[in-house]
Amino acid sequence: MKKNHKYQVLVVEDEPSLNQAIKTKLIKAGLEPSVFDNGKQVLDAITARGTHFDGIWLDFDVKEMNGLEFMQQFITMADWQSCPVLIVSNTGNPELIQQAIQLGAKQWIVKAEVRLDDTVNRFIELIDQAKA
Amino acid sequence: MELMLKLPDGLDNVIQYIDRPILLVDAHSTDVININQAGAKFFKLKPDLAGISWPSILALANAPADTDMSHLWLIKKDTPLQAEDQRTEKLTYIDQEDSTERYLELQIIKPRDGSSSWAIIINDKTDIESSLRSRSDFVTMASHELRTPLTGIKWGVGLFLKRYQQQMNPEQMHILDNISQSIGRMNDLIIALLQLSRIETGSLTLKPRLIEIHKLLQEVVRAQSVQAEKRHIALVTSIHQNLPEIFLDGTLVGYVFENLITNAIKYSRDNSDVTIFLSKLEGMLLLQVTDSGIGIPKDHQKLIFEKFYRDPTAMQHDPNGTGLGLHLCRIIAHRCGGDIWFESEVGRGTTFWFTIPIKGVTVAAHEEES
Repeated sequence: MKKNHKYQVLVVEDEPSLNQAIKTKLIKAGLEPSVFDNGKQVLDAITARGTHFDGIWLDFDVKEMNGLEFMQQFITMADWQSCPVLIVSNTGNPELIQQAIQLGAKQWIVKAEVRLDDTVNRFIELIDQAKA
Repeated sequence: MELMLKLPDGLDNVIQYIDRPILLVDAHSTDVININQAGAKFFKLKPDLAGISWPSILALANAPADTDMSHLWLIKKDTPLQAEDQRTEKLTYIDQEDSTERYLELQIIKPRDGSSSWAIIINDKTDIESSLRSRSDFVTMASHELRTPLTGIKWGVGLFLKRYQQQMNPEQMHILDNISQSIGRMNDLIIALLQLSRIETGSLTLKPRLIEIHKLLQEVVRAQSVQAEKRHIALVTSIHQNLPEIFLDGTLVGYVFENLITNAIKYSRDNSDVTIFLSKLEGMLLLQVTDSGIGIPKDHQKLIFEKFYRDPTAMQHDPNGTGLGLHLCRIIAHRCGGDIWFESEVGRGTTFWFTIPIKGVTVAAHEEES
């Protein structure tokens, strides 16, 4: 990991207040988040801009496209393996977790179980590990 | 009568004369093989223990409905007890002489390797129970009696404000506002005391019906948002929307939601976030409420669920709390088959977690009737 390098990350979360809170916390932690409220926009953004992202914070339960559908499309894109995906969800459904991990998600967090600050830390750790 | 224990000199004597009944029961025959003086006196047994079995003593007792009798009767000899190889059971025992009920707590200690006798230590809680009960009765009565004049004061102030508001100057209005606020606080306190004594005496029964839990939480959040906005505190929420309807007492569960969220707001700094997450995890509903407020000092953390307990920092921050909210929350959580716990750091904030089983509550038959 390069010193002073700011991680560029994507956040998919459709609850406006949470979306804002995550953004603020990530900026405070020294990251550069782009925040979206649905997965389609994210996929479009990756395709259109071709930008490289260092990590994705994915709310599993977003409307329009759920986390699994997102993952299915995401892994068809170039370079996805170097970009860790953290899934944050309001349900701990073991089947879905299994499927998402098989598709390449790095970690699954049940929202209410973990404090938002700790989730932010885990997200950064995931990216650090991917860079190491 | 001598205790047949190989004890260091003097200790057997201590056991013999200690004022708490202690029995030894044979693991195979369940005969009482030894008893100390206090025990013989309590159960009115003659020094000759021939024919006295533990079940014959228990025949005069009633255990609470949810007690696993096999533990009490010492039948399952190999049943794993707790890690310390002992457990505590409660029962009521009818005294043969005066027919009074005694509330007993039994400490049952498993035979050690090589030994074949259970030790049973009896703790007579009757006096404590009855003093708790009479205190509770007193609180119930006092709260009821206090409510009547308080309602009178409330109406009086309301009426006064309605009639004379136009003619009053700001200072007079300010004084009346303070009076109104104090009445409100006193009312809250009385309601909390009433609820507490109902819960403690067991007369508060769960009234479960199918409820949509996410809606219940949304309502509570909405009701608190005014208070939060005043201090620029953002209520960051994420609520699981696809939950099944749950068989629960909405009033009580709503009380816990409300308490955790009002506390989080109350002890937050202005311009901060309170996060409220409701998730489903392994058959449980899990609520998390996090603030980045004043936090709870380490040495007070053990006590915050205790009745009337308020930690000094919190008291300084808000002198008006009753010290009953979290105590009631814990009683309700346990009553619903769930739990409540927290993590906190001074200056950084507090997180509370509250769980309820998704299958809802089961109501005992005697509760359904009432």
